[in-house]
Amino acid sequence: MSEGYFAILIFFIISTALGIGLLILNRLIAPKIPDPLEGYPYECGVPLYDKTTWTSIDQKYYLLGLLLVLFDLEAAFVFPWAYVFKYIAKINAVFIVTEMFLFLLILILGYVYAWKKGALRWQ
Amino acid sequence: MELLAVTIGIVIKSLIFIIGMFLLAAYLTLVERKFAGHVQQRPGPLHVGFHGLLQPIADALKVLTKEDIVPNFVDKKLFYLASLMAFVPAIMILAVIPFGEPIKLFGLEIKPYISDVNVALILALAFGSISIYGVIFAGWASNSKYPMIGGLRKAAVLIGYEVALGFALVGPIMLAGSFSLREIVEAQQGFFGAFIWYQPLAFVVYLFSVLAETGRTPFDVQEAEAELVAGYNTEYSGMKFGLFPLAEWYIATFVLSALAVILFFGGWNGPHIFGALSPYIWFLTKLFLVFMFLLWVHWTLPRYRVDQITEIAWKVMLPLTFLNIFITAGIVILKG
Repeated sequence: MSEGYFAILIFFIISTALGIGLLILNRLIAPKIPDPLEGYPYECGVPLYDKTTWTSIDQKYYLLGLLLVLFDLEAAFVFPWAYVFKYIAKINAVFIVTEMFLFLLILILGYVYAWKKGALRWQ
Repeated sequence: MELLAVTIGIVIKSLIFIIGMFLLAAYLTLVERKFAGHVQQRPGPLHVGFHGLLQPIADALKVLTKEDIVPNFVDKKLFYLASLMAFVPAIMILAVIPFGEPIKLFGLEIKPYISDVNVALILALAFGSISIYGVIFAGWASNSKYPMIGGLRKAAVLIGYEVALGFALVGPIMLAGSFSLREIVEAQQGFFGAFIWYQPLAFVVYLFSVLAETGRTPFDVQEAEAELVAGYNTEYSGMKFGLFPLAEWYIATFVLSALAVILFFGGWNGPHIFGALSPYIWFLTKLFLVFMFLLWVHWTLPRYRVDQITEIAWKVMLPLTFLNIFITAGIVILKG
């Protein structure tokens, strides 16, 4: 089994090296003809009036990020349950179903609350 | 000594997979452009080689010999890192995708996959999530308005579909009782054994997520040409730029179609009518059909607005996946 992860590591190294290699190759063989305006950020034909865009970001993105953390964590808890569901359902179906559905119920309650509060709305 | 032999074997196999993926991705550009052309009643690439057959090579050479421009105000390290962060996770999913069962050839056991770890599906999900960083880094590092808006929008869309995708995959996992993609395929024997018959809801959610994740048209708000020029890669040029569409439109779409075939269409299972080659022919045929379906959607549908897309993800897709988990639990218990 550890051979599998070793293979993934080697695959990662090779693909990263290939990506870097392509970028370097591009730098080596491409012509370099400097032009005073080529480093100018894209703007539709008018002088640039905002030097930087590294300013504050709308709060709706922050809210979505928060929801992602919440629900992705819940998904991480559901995965192991899904893995063993088939095997335990043969032995004790009532136990595994009620256990998870209580968990999902709490999750869905939170989801309904977020919906009612308007957190899912793109504002 | 044995470790060295194993390492050399893996290196050779990885090189075959990666170079094969590159050539395939190059020709998938031609397939897409031809398809798009005929959808819009124009011939598509026609002049480079017979019916444009050499067009991908010409494109690759052009991208490689374009000047590598770094605009004045960018964050240079992130700017370069972004194109790598988009490309590497997309191709990493290929490492966990099995293309068939191990076969014996000249006394050697040849495995048509890089690795078959028991958490392959989780790894594929994780790599898919990491590729979001490429887009966000590109948008942020460019320090320009259009890339910034494109990157943020793409992040918002992907966040919604990431959650729905995670919950949608719970269904196939429950049916197969495994995270290993090879065991998931083994669990789907026969025509009516394919998970698509038990998981139609999960498949719909998966399809929407793939379209969102690869930035194809109903969900391509991050590079809506009419409003954002080219989205998060507006400031990019040369090979830095080339890695983005390569990763997103071709490698990611190909790899996620392969995952769709494995999860819902029974992978390489099919009637043995082509002899020893039949698993591969079935797998690639199914893969090509899913890929063409995605292209079909891309080139025929108009674009949604960004608020509609995120609200579909949270208000339609997520409840559907919850429903799917309940239905699947019922199916598994009834089947015994």
